[in-house]
Amino acid sequence: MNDTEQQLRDDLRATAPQPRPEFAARLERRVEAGFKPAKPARAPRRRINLWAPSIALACTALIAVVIAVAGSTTSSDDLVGGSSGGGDSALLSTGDDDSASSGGSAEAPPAPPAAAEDQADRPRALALTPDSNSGRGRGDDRVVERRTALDLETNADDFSEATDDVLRVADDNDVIVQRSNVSQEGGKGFARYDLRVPASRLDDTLAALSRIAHVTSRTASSEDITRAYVSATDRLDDARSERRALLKALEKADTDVEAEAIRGQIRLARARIALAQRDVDALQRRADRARVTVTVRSTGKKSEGGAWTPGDALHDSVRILEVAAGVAVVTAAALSPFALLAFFTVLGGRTVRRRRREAALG
Amino acid sequence: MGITLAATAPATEAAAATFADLYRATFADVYAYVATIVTDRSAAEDVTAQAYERAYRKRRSFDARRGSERAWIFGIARNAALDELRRRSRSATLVAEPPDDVLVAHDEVAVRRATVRAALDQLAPRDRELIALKFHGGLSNAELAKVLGMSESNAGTRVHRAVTKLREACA
Repeated sequence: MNDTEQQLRDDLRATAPQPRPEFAARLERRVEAGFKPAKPARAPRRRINLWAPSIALACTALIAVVIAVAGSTTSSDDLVGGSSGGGDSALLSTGDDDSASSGGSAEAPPAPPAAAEDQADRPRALALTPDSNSGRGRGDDRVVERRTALDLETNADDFSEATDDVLRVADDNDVIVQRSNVSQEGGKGFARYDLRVPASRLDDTLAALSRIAHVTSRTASSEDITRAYVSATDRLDDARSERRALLKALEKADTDVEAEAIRGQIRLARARIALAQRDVDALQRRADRARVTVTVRSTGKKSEGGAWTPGDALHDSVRILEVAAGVAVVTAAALSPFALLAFFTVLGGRTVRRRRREAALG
Repeated sequence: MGITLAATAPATEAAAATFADLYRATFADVYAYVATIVTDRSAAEDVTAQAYERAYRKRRSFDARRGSERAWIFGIARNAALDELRRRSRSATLVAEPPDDVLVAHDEVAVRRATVRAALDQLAPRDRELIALKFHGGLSNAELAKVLGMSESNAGTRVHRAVTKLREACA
């Protein structure tokens, strides 16, 4: 450092503006007092609680996890319930035995008092006549045969129990198991049951069957057999009327030859009666008992049910953490544009403010 | 040609344990710097007081890892001074006050210092600020770089250029 530079340094230091003593003293007092009297007291600035958004985010994530876990655990139950419910609503309802009987009685032609044996042979009243449950409001009495196919699916561990339950439901509801076929090999199994379910208990039986396992399919159909039934009953009535007439003629027969001829006609009439009665009974059975085909299939997978073990707890914990991580990632992805926008806004604000200040020097 | 001018004696940061100590260690230098920038005595007093009040309010935000206390207080004072200049530019034309001491051109030293002051006033505001920070404020190049938001080497280069201009103005 030469003399000229030192001299310039000294001159600059010497020419530095000096504060007035009264200003220095006044500011010294303010500093000592902590600048309290310098300005009126400001309203306390509200501090931003950085925990609040974190807590809100955590609560949101927790709620989402609970909803997700609850949804995953109840989905299978809902599916079964939904299937059965939908099936019930779509199911063609059957008539009631009592109402069918009373309706049939009203429709049945009055029996001649003299024909006591005919009274016993009268066909039973029309079954399933008013379709009250279906709500379709048919005014006339119809004879309808119901058919329902129900497909169930179960895990390998639950297959045997499911097939047992089908039989238990059949016993509880007075169901006739017309045919059954059960096979199981390895982890997979298949069972098929052809059931004859009392029409009056069809809804309850189907509901009970649907609760046994997961319902994969449920179809319902009906066949109107009224014409065939009426035809059969008409033939039966005609045959009986003919027999009654022949019996009266037999009473009035004068000769043995004539009587023998009438007896032969009576035998033919009885045969026709038996034939017609058989047809009526067959139709009656079709109407009285709905055909229900139940199939049970095993998926081959092991059941996840049973006691809640520590392994299950670990699995659930991992699952919850996975869901929570997923929620966090989705939340971060959703918020990242806003965070970037806020970041660049703050950055831009600082830059603009700095440039404006620097511009004051220009 | 390198920079050979030395800064004024640095403030003793070790002694500035409290804010009052910091105030006492820096007050004169901060005032000199601010007065050189705003060229108005009353405005310089207001800005200086405002700068120390701001620093007092924000004293808990000071981070020693980001620079010295001296650089910190000068940064606050600089922002306050620039805000004042911006306010003035919006409201009225800046009129510099005449110096307090009326020069009697008999003393050689007084004449030389008056020349230096006049040369300083003729410098561009940015150069004048650099001279004020370096020689009135007594900042090192590192501290000066922190205050101006630039690298230390860039700060040294700019100070050197400003001093060269000052010399030329004095010649």
